Amino acid sequence: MTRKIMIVDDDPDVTKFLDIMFRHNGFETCIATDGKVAMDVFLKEKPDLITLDLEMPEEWGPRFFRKISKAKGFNTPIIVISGVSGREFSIPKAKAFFAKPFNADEVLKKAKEILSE
Amino acid sequence: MRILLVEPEEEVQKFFVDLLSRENYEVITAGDGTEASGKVKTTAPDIVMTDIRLPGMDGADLLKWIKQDYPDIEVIMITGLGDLQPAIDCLKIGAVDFITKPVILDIVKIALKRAIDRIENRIKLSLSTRNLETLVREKTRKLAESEKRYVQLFDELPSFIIIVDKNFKIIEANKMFREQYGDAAGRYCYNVYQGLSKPLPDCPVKKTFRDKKSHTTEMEVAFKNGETRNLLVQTSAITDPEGRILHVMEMATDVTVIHHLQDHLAALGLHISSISHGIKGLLSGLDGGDYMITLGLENKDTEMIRDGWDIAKKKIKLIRSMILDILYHSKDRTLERKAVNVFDFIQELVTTMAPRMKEHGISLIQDTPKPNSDAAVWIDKTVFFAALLAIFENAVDACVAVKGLRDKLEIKISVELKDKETLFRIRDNGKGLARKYQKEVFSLFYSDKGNKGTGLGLFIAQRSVKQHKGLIKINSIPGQYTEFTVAIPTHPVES
Repeated sequence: MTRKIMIVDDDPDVTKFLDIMFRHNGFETCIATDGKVAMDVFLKEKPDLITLDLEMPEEWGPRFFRKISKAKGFNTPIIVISGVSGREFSIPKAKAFFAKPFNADEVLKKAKEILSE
Repeated sequence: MRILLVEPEEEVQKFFVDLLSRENYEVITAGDGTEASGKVKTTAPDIVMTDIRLPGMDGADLLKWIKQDYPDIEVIMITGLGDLQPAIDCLKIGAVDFITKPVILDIVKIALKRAIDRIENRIKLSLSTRNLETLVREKTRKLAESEKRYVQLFDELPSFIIIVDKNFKIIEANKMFREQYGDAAGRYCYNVYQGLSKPLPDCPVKKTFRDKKSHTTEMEVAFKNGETRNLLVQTSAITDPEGRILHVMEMATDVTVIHHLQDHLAALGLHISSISHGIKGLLSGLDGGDYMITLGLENKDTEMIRDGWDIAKKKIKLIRSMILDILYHSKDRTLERKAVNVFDFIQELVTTMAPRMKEHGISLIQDTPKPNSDAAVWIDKTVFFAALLAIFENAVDACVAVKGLRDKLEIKISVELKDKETLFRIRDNGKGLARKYQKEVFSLFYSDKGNKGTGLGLFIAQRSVKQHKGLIKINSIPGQYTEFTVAIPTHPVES
């Protein structure tokens, strides 16, 4: 079964990059350009993994996480990809943290690793 | 000691001469008043001993004359034992003593001692009087000098100094203050400095009058040339010898430059952190472009290559403008000024902005010199161009922010050529700027465009204009318009 990854980032070029990379490696993707719409996308698409940017104009990553983590039975793994310093403390339950600019191969490797658990 | 002895009787005269010589006095003699007065003039005796009874001018007359013309000569009267009254009268008019005939040696000695004491006292007195006078003169001179020095110090200190009374009335002001504010004596300090009608609640002068201690504050004032300056105000109490506070001295130092430095540092710090965040995003985008191009090449997918290259191009452009911003910001270029044709300059500016204006449907109104006009300004074109470009871009952004809410968006650029200065005006009918932000726009890292603005444009614009010894002003009504006016000297000015 194809696994689905949700990309949350406000920079369209970054989402495009991740989108192409994941799809090229056999994943399905869905995109949210803001923490605010991410909730709707999440409920509709039911992704298996989320990559999350922290600093977004309308709603910050951590706030989105707090909301989503309250959803019933929520246990979707999260990878934080952000340029913000201190990102390790933002979402303690995240499976991995990557700084921007990120190494595409490492992100991919991590995603595969998490999804094969 | 020289004694002139005036005695008509030869016997008596001889007796006295013997006596006085034995006592080591130098004795000169005269037989009558007329001879005596001549000898007083020629021999300058210290003491005159004279018989009261003399032929012609008598002893009392001689005494009067001496006391009038030679008051320092002491006179001792010689009189017969039964003739005391005239001698006593002589004491009243200045004789030091009298001796009676027949002469008793001890009495003569006492009289002489008295005369000598008086002479010595007078000498001492006159010496110390003279010393005192010299001292007073010397001190007065020093006092005048130091007073002059203090006045000079007061006047020449590179700060605004005023002395105010309990009612905040200015009673004295130094030169720098007078030059900026005119003769302000009698006016109120809060009124002169800030145009207020009463002192501020945290006025340092008020505090100093209360606790006699020094207080500090900062205030913003407008100079007569329209510039806003930051003054650091320090107060100190001026007390009388009993420690009662009479006046307060208020010293205000222009710290605008320091403020600019602080702003500059703050902006730099803020900017670096925001830039580093921005750059991380840009690099991620660049990596994305790289990835897509590589993937496209592998799969011979031209579409993918084009998309990747578009992203890369966009990011490169952003990185370039960001780096240029930083370079402008961090480096204090010396200006290379030349006479630049105003028409050409405006044309270049308008051409640069044309694509963005067209994209957003903003029309341009131009009130600038015609082609072939030889109007010129003395500028460093690169630096000044960056300043006007930043203002122009700001105008476009202000229009874009209200796109769809206005019938038409327009930007008007005008140039007013005056004798001494040239005024550039850029006016947009965009969103406008609330008054409280109108200053912030220049002085601090400020951007109301989210992550689209670097917050540096107008900051740099202001610096460039200042480097040109010009002024930049903003005039705006929120929701209606914003107008920037840049005034710079048309011709070279001596710095």
